[in-house]
Amino acid sequence: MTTSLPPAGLSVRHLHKIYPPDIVALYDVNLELPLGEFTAIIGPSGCGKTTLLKIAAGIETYQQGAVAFAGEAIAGNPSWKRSVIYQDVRLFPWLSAQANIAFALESKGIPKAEAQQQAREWIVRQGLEAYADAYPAELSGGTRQKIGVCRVLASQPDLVLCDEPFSALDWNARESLQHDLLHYWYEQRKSVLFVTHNVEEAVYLAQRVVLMSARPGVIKEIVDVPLPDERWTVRRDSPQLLDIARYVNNHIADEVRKAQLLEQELGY
Amino acid sequence: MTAQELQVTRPAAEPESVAVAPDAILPPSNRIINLGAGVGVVLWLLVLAAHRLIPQVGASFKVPADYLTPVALVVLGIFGVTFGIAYRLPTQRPRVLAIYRVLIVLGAVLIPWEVASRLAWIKPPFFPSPSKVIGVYIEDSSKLLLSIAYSMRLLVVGYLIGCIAGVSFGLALGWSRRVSNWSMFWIRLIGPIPATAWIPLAIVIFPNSFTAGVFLIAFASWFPVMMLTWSGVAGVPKALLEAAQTLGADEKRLLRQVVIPAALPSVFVGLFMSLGTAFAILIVAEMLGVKAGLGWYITWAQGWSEYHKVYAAMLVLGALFITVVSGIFKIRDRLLGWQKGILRW
Repeated sequence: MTTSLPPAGLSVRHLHKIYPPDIVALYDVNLELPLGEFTAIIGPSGCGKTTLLKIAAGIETYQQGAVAFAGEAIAGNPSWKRSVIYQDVRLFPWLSAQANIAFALESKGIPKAEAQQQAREWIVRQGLEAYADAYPAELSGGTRQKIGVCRVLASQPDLVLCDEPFSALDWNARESLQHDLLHYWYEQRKSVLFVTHNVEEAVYLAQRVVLMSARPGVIKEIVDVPLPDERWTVRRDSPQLLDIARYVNNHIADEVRKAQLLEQELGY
Repeated sequence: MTAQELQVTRPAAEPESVAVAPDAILPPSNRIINLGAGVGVVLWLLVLAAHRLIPQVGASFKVPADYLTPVALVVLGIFGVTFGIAYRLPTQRPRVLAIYRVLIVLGAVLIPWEVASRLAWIKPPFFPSPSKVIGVYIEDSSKLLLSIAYSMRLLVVGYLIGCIAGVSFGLALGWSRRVSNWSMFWIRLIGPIPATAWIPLAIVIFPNSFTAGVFLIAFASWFPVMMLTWSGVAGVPKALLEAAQTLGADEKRLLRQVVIPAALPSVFVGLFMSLGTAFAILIVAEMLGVKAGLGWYITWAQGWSEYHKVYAAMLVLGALFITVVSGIFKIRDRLLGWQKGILRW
């Protein structure tokens, strides 16, 4: 059999993660994502989706299994090629907005002067010239995350890992950042792994939505989203989108109920 | 659902916007300035009156030089000039008031001091008159200046060595588990030994009293700086380290651009704390037999029962401390500009 498989992106095989002493965060997780896919992971809180993302980033260890990206084992090695957009942004408070972006570029190995230049261009493209020299403490939450997204996208990672990046933002900022991310994906065709608990957001952004169940975290189902790649042209209330979201919601509802029962049992 | 089905209420018209005055910080009022200047002038006139009008009880043949009168007159002159400035340049009023507060307290202290001294309630040599203390700055100025220079040399060299050692050790301890595992026990053992306890050893090891003094001051400042640098490094948020790592930062970049800036606020607390210790040790170190220095000056003056010189030198020490501390604060404000608005010590 010689079907030509798409080149492998993130590959997770028989992954087990236990937080000592006995909390099973991930149990035999298997996931094969083609290179260049926009994937969302959704599940109730405590289902291990953030743990999975951290393992993919290389900042979390695991007990058993194999995790690789584009054929390269990850094994606890963080790299700019697999960069993370965090919910709490994590800008360096002692660096100005522009310097935060330049930090990412310099970490990738771009010479200082050129990094400054490119960082400047990102700031200008986002229309944030007024804030270029401002420290993070002086910026609003939305602007902060805009800089945070620029910082990650500027170094053009092959895998953009998103840990509920927009859930703390107001509607305006969220929409504009979602579109920034979509355009990056659309133009560069790099892989995106988007963890969220917001079903509408997952369906609106991703080509495929991975549903995870609660403790232990296992992958329950993968839902295709047959919407055009130019997602910014899709209305948020389009019937097709709402149908998929409803389907996912119903499944999630089951999982949430299960998770709650389990938590009561465990006495959390 | 369409708009018709929804119950929508709209306000009839835009509410009128209320004009709000910009948040101007008003300069202190005329009343406050007048009150400050008035109280100050009255107090200093009283100082002058006590000095000039009360006859000295138990006066000797030799009339001591009068330094309080010119000082009081200069202070009264300052009140006049600053009062004019306060009315010409209202923006300078907070500064003028700051000067008033200092001069008012000084005047309030000088009145009872001068009265007690005139009526011989307090007696020299242990409790000299204000004029005698002021006189030290004029009569003994060359020796005092030389002492300041010697003290500053000893302090600066010792403190800098101590701080550099403290920051380096602290970084190494916080950054490398191996370093902390190996040295932890010894640092806990040796660090808290008071610097003064090292005096016998320091005298033997070092070729002269200057190097011994440098060692003692360096040792005294090393320990607090190291501990606070270390705790600063240990307290670097893990979230920021992770963020830097996922952006691809290597060890060197992590240390220089994340760990050190994040630890810096704590480092400055250490620098500030150890400066107090360094000053204390300075005085002790100068008793080991130096040619000049404020600590030496105080001991020497005490030996001759010239207590007015002791007090004069103490005030100089205080002024030096303020100067050095405000220098450190200036550096801190430059380096920690990003902390604007965050609560500080």
